[in-house]
Amino acid sequence: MNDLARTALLGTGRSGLPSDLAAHPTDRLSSAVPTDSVETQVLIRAGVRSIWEQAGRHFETEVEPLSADEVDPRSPGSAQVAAILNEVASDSQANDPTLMIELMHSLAAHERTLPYESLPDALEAQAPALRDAILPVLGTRGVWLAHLDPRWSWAIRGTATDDADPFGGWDEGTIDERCAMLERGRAIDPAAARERLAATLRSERADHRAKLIERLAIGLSIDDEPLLEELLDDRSSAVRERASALLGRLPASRLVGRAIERGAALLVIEPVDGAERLVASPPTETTKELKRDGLPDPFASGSGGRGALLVAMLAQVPPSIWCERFGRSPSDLIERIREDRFADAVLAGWCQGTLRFAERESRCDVWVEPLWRELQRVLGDGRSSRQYRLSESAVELFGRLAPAQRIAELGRLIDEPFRSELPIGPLLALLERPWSSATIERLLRRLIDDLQGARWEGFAVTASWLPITAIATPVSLIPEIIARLSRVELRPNDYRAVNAIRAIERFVTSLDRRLRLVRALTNQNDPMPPSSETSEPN
Amino acid sequence: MVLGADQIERLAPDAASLAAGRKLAAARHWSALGSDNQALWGICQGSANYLVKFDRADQGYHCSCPSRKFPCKHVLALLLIVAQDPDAAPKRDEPEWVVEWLAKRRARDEKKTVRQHETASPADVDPQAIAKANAGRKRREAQRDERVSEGLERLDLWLHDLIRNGLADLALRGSGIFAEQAKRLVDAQAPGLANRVARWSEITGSGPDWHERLLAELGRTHLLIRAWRRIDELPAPIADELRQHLGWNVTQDRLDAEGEAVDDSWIVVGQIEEQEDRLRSQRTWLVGRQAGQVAMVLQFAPANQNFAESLVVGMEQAATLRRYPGTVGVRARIAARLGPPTPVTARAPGDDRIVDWLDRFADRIAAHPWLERFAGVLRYVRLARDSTPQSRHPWWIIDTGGDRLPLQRLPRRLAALTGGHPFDLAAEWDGVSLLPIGLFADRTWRGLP
Repeated sequence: MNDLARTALLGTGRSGLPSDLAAHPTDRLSSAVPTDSVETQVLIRAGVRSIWEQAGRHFETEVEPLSADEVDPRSPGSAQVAAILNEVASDSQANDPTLMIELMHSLAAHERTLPYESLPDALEAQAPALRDAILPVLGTRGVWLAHLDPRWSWAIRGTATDDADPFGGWDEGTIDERCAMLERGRAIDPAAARERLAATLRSERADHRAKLIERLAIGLSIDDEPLLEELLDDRSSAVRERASALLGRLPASRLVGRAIERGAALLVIEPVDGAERLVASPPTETTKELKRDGLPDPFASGSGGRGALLVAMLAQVPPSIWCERFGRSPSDLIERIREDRFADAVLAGWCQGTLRFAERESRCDVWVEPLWRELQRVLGDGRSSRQYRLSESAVELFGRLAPAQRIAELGRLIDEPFRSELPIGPLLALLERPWSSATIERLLRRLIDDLQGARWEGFAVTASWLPITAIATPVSLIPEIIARLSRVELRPNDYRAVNAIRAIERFVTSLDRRLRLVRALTNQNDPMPPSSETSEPN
Repeated sequence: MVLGADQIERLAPDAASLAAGRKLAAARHWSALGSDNQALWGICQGSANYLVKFDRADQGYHCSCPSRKFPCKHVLALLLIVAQDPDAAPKRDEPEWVVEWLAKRRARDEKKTVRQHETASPADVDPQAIAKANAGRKRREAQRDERVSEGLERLDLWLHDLIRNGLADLALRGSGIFAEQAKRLVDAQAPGLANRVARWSEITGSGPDWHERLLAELGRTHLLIRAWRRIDELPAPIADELRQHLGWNVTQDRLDAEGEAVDDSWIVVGQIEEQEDRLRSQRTWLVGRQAGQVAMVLQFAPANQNFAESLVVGMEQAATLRRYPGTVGVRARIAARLGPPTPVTARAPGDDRIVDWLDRFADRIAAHPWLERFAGVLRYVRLARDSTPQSRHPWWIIDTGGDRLPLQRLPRRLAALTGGHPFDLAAEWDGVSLLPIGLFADRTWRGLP
């Protein structure tokens, strides 16, 4: 602070005008003005100095010019493309990133990168799936830009320019920044990243420990077992749960070994009413050992009792074990448990076990179709089995069916959607895109029938399929679909009709945006080269 | 294309209107879309049928809807639909409702030109009436001078009190004390200075050097008050500048009579909008293609209403400007448009060296010591960074000679569009840091938010 400002800060009433004010080039000019008070002297000096400084400022600050980005072999999207992306990004009703993800795929398919002006918004993306879709179309400009803001560091992970220590700034970073560093470190060298985490993990807060451990899912291997086993004794239940969940995904881990051992007592084959039936015998309490392995204590929390514990215990066992133990096929085992009082719990446990181990054990695949069929039967009976989340399991199993089988199964469900508790929307999301014209036609017919028949209850269900349909429709079919929908006459004479009109408008808007983007990409002439064409001064 | 999507975005009165416009920017909502060299039009089918028109000559527009937002969503949608697909509004004859609207606009422009001409040569005006009007005006001016003098003397007393008692606790006392002084200045008919005083609340407590910055403001205001005391002795241009700074308006008649007329092809290089209470202000910076002169069109409008002149960043407009009387001569008004605006595709005149830019600013300050800001174009500069921790200005621009100026902030768009390559920048300079307002990259001028 300069001496004049210090004087004004304290007040001339207390300090007066110091006699040893530092000399200033404007002093002679200031002192030429007649004054009648110390305050006037301060004001005049301050005013004259300020004008002098404003007019003659010269900066000596050491600054480093930013290096220019490298040339990208792909061209960026045009201004028209940028405008469409901006439209989608600023649509307050579209908080679902699926359309934007699809547009990113379109850019990639046309070998374009994001328009430069769209990059800042793209780098602000939070949804992991959207980020994954953005990365391939960031281009060299986007990667260059990501270096300018620490919040955008997610876009630098794993790129050629990412030569810095992934843990640089670990000690000072926020928890989100450290999670991002850990993700990046695990992608590059899982073992080194684990060591780095282990060195400071004990000193972290419990909720931070839990968040960090979740990142070990990237590059997870049996090498992580010692650390995760150790964390099963952590003070925090959230940490223990995450550690056991990760160990549970490793078929060769000691935790899975213990689960298989415990499983021997859970299911036995006994003669019941003259037939050999599977009988489930879940424990009546959660022991200390079970809790250590991440199993719940439903007796203490009053949430589900023995059934819930059975589901969790079976989920830790690779289902192939049951075929080996009983020498029977999955279909046979499923049939033999149907009459048991814990049948739904066993079914849920097998589903979860199948889904958990299917990626690492191909032997589990034989369970997928029989379990899917059984869930169709159970859910189609109208039996409410929500406590075991059978619907969610069904959706996940559907995702593991062969592509052709998925299409066939879904066609059946679309035609008779109310027979099952199964939600169709999440299943549609698992179909390979773009969908066939037959699938689109089936959906459209259903939609138009509901609209024209004013079947609003049915339409409420159909409308929930529209967002996914908007991104899965082949672009070539879009003009015809928009035309067909525009011919459906709807009168806004009822709030349900108004809602339907809005849903259709949103659907058509999404289709239209996709169509325009693809047309803009197809028609785009090569854009101007980057701004380096600003010629040097003569 | 009439306007680019980026320009339409800047034209929108708010985000909600733009979003609504985007929803209507699909052919299915429109009928009778058409265009010719003069205009663009269409009928938007909303809750009723609205007739929407856009005048290519001066980017004026009209919609028959009852919206109080300007431009309304229908106008925005019409522009967007053509920005997306120029063939959406095919060439055809103007319908009657467009012909009538354009005729009214042309008649109004003609009347404006005739009025300017008449003001310049008042041959048939009664001398007695003029004398009476002049006497009344002088009496009102004298009354205002008196009020302003009283208001400034009160302000000066307060400035002295501040210096005597010290600035230390101002940050704790809140913005109320500045608002109170600003209110008194409004009552004293010095609204221009009132705005400046009201902004002092933004300085207190903002950064470690706020005492120095506030003291500079207090000192310069004291100098302004001293200048006012001697206004009768000042040369007319300086007195004019001083009065305008205090809040005097230059009447249309005086501007027509005394304002210097400058013809050029004006490039709209940047625009800044601010809103205080229910009043919006807009500073539009223009650079003349031929003479390289800089001008600023300052407009005011109530919230949610449009400014009288439609000026869009990135467009070039052949026009006659009238400069406001004064020493700096930056503020100007559009007297006549000399053709339709066209998109800027070539670099604008400006300074290739920062030292020249600073020299020009110093000249302006010498002419008008209370000048708050000035703008222009700096050519072939690059982005630079000061990596010092806690640096007050982490982002800079640097010219080919290595001279540098700090940026108030780094617009993300500026970085994205330039990628570390050299570029031409339009910016406002307040003597401390640059506020980027426009950018030339990829043969396009774009506004920066």
